[in-house]
Amino acid sequence: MTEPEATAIPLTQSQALIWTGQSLAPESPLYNMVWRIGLRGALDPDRFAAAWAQVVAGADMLRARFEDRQGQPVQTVTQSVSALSFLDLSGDADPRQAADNWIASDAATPVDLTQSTWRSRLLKLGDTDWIWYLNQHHIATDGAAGAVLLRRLGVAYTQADLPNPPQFADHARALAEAAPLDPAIRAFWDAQAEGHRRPMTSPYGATRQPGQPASQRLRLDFGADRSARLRACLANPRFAAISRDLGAFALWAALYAGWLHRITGDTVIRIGAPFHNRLTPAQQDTVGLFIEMLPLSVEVQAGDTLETLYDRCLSAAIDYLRHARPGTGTPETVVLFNAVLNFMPVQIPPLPGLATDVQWLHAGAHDGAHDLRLHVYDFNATGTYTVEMDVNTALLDALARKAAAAQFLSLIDAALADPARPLEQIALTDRRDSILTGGDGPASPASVLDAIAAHESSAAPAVICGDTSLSHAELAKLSDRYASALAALGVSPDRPVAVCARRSLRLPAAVLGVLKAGGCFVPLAADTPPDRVAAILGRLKPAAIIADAAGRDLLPPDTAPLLALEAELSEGTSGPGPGSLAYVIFTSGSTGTPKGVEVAHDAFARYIDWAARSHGPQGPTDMPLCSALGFDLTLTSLFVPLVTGGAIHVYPETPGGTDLAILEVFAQDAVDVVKLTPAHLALAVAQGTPVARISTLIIGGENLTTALCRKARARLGAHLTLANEYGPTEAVVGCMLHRFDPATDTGANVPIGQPADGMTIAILDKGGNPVPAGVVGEIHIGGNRLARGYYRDPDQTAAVFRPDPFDTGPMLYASGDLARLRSDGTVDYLGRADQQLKLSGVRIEPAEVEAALLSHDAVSAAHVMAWTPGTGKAARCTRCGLSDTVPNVTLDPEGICDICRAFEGIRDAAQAYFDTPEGLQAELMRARARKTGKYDAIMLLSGGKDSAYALYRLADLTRDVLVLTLDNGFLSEGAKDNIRRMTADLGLEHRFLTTPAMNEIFRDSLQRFSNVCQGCFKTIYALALKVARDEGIPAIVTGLSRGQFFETRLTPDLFRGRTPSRAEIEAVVLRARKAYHGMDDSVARLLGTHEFLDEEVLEDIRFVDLYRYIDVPVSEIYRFLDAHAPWVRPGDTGRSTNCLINDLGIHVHSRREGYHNYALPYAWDVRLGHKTRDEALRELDDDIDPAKAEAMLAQIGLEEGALPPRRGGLVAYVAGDVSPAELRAHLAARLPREMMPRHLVILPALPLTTNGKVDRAALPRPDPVLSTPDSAREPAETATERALLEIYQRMLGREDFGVTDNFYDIGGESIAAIQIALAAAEAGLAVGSTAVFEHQTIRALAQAVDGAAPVPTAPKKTPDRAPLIDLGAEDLAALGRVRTRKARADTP
Amino acid sequence: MTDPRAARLSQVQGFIETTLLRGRAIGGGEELLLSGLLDSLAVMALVAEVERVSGRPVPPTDVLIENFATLDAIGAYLDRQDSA
Repeated sequence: MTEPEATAIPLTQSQALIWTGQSLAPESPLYNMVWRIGLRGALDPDRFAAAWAQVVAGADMLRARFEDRQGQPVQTVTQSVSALSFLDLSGDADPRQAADNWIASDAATPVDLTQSTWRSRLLKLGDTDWIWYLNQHHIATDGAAGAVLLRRLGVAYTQADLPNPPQFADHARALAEAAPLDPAIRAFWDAQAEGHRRPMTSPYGATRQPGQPASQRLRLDFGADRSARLRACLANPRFAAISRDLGAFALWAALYAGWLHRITGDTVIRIGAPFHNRLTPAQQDTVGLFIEMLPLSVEVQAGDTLETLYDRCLSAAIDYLRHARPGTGTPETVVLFNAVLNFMPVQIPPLPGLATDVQWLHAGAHDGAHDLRLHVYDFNATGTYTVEMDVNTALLDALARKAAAAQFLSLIDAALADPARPLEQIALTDRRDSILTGGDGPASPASVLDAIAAHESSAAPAVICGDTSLSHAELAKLSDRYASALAALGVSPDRPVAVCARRSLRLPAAVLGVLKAGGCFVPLAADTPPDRVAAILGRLKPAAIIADAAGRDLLPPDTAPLLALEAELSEGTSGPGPGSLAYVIFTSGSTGTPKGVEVAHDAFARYIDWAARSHGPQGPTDMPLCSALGFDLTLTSLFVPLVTGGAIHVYPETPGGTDLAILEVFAQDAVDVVKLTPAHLALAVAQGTPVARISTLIIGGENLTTALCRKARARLGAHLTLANEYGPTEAVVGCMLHRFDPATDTGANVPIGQPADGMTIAILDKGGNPVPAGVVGEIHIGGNRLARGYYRDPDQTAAVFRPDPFDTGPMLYASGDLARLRSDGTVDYLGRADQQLKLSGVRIEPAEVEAALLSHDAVSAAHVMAWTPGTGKAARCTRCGLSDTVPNVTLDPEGICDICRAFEGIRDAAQAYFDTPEGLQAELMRARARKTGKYDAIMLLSGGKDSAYALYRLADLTRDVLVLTLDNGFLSEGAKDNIRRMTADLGLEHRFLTTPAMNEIFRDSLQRFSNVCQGCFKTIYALALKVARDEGIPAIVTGLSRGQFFETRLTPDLFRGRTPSRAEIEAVVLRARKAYHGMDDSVARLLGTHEFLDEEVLEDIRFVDLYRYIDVPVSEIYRFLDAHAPWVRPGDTGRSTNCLINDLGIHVHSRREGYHNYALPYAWDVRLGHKTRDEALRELDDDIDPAKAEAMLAQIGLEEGALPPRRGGLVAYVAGDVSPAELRAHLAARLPREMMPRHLVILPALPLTTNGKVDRAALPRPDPVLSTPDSAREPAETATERALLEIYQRMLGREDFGVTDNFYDIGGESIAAIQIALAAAEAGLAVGSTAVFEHQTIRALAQAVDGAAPVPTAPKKTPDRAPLIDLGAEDLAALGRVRTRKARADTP
Repeated sequence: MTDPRAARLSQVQGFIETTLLRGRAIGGGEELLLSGLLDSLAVMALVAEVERVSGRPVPPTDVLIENFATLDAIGAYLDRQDSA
């Protein structure tokens, strides 16, 4: 008998997903569905085998095979039925063990789909003891299919006649022919995906180790008791649901989500849940894969109980089921979750006459995208749930897996015991991993004055300022005088004395004098805005004020008795000695007014003692006084030298409004220890002066990156100890410490380490429970040196200083900082928990900025937040898929973007630009007539599909073509092969063009435009024009797509209010082309284009864009290339392009601009019907390996840090009728510079939620580019101005300013200032590091430079200009630099 | 086909019997939900069918046993929707 022909069946989407998953890990048993069915009783093996054969003969999926044909899976059904084989183990010493061993081994072997979709054996353990083993590939089955099989096998075994079941082929064909999904259904699932590009947090913050997916199945000891309790809970009317299974599912989902929330810290939990997808009885009887995985999203809210979370899960489940349709589980939805809940309300019937025990075995691996899979089932209808958890073993070790399971059970037990109890009150574990306690440390003095007094007879310098100094003895005397003078003004213990002055020789004495008089000092920096000074003094009611001339300018009249810092002071004696309070420091307050943190003497003395012991050379320690007086990190520099007998080196404020004294500290290298913020360290690294004496840097104030530490050691000195000190003002400067170790600190950020002596750190969740190790929680600080509270604000004090429930000390301070405990026992800092922001080390309460905005009469409402482009909830155009994170793109109420709308208006008018194939022929005829050399035309061939097709169409018309390709060093080999094959096939001449300047062009393009294409495009045009000119070729043919025409040329502006003719459009395009090539940029400079490219050449050589004349859908292009050209889709770029460095451009662009480099071009492809929206979104959803991107950066000679940082910063939304300029002036008088919003968005009214709160999601995104200054652009006039303008443009990444614009207004800040100074010095211009701030316009700076003597040109570090600065992007981001986005990439 | 109410209920009945139950007839008072006759997915398909024949959405708060437990209950629910 000949075998009937096999029939092919289309794969369903679910099958295709599984096929892809298996292709990625071909050796792994990811999708083995293994049944071990124990059968006891008188079994007839032959009858069993015959029954199975009948089942196989009846169900197509049991006879299916899969093959890979050119990368595409093909599913065919054969007629062959292989016989069930037996394995007799009854003679074995331990038949059961032997059977289990055999099964375990076979279960872990992938099913070879080219042979069959299953393997099976009937194992004999004894005469009445059998196991039927069935291992199926998931591509051909699911849980419900297992039940169908068993039921059919039972029928076939007991009665000979088995009716044929419905066939899977019918289902698959029906799906393939089904009408497209209802748009409302599609929109529901799209909405689940929008704004959730990032995966969920992994349990316990674990990170995956790469490798083959492997997992362990843990069987939870769920048991009959718990099952009964769970059923009892469901029987309670409180847990009613429209169907039994739905209630049970929602309850399991609530328990699971409640637990996931606790072990991930996520508040929106997305669980992947399969829906069985068998609506009709026919589907229910079919053997095959029906299930699809869809996300179930549920928010866990504060105060949730099992009841409330159940309610939310139930309504989420109803929503889920109402939108579940065949085909909704797509590649986009399956990536939305990493935890799966597989609730299977399936019962598998026993085989008649046999005791049947159905077990579902784990093959040792599951889909690597899933961290956890929870399975709940009761196949044998025993009433007891089987609960199993598959844990990705690359994620958690064996111990952690067991602990995880135990924690889940303890949450279940407590929640079921009292479903109305807040879940956050349930302790997952009695372990307190996340409560850390520092050592005891030696006893410290009661006051810093005691330790300082020990040195009061020393003649060694205590304060050095320039050429002047005070010895410790002189300091003691001078401070006594201040104390006496203050006492005479009425200062007594615990009365506040404001100190408002610039840094000077006398300042430390004045501060000590306050303490000696018994008072507490209140430091105010001399650049504090006057309104803020007035607000603080108004609250403080100080007993006296010490101020220098600068400070006195800020003071409101008649606030308090004033003591001039520089006053002649008469002889004095020590005052009454320390009161209880040492100082009050004002920080940004959430109520909108600054709040004063009160620190007592004993706590302060303990900190200074610990700091001196931990950071100093264990003896006299010299430190610089170089930071702002009101900032608590300055206190370390002010007191550690005095208590150790060392010296304070005073570095006065530098001129120009931005204090760069820190640079002098490193230039002079005269101290032992420097305390500074990461932002200041970044400046020092940029300056790059190596140091020898400075041995320790204490870095505090904000997150510290390892990249910055590595660079600090490389640039400043490998001997440096870099100490990351963490601590809010409320915990007295610093309470945790970690010393950077390049060998072990390999993550992105430096940990904050472990608690200081006497301190306790508790990382707690919102319910106040210590979080499990790895889970994010809020840092709570206890111990013996907390602040006393907030100055005259008991409510605020009580809100954050709370009794310590763990009895580690009297109080715990809730810091609002997020952190997690690592497995090595150190703590990672993870940013702020609340709305409070930290920019450049300064805490910013948005409320305070809002209060300043609201103090303007014309402002009726204000909302302030931090913003980075590309963050926040994104929506996509329902037509083209463009995300509204792209600047200037907004969606209308129908969800359609501006560009689609504009396109509607110009689509017809733009037709004038397009021509017919005859037009192309005419162009080429003209070219042939005009040529003076061998070729009619140059063809620019990138090797991609568009230019490949264009080449063939061109070759139909002429073979006198010179084909050119720019080999930029990153062309894929596949593309090069394509190019060689095609040009050989057509017999055309071909050249690869190269330039040694390519990498520099890439660097410039990345720095200016955040992409590589811009530089690359311009290079190919310039080089091709040169060839054309040199060889008398009159035309250059391109394969630019029609989408690219619309993106770059046929813009709506061109058609506004008129319908231009073809000639008019062409004239506009030519003008744009001349401007493009006339631009004096790196391509022009490096390729010397001005030598061969003038207007005449551009008019003479015509660009012929082939797709202007030929309109062809992309499917036809692929079809044509398949049929007629030796063109193969490149396999090594991972996308439909031909250039490997593209990935770098995409990476940089996404990081910096917040959206994908191809978002706009692909949206055009969709608009013009060249791609579907889904295809475009799929291609845009790429995950570029940062390591690969960094490697490419290194390859082109750029360090990651040389790239501009992400845009963004503080944004203020204001409702009111007021101009931005007026508002900025208003704010400048009230806020410190670092609290000034970077973006001001003025609206008629702020959008509100139904609760009346500002609807953050509805706020428009600010334009990521700062607005252009209002002034007209003043061109450079002198050579110095021209040179400086070029440097400014390069360093600021924008060109939209002139020589009279203020540095701050064009997005400048300190790092840019230093880069500019270094670049200017390299160009031979005498620009000091603070000059850019002193002379805030290019014109003023140029005048200063021209007045000064020229400096000798600094030697270049490398011939091809090493990057001037190489800080981590994060460090630069901390400095809040903003650049402008430039015009599009590819206007020729 | 005189009574539009009866007509639409018979459409719902037809959907249950043909699409969900392969021709098995159901009585007006026959328990559909707690009997396990319809599982969760089928119930939601039934809700969608009720929306289709009535031309009105069924809000999530109405997805309750008392509204969908039997064919009679569904009829009563539709009537209540009419008068709401």
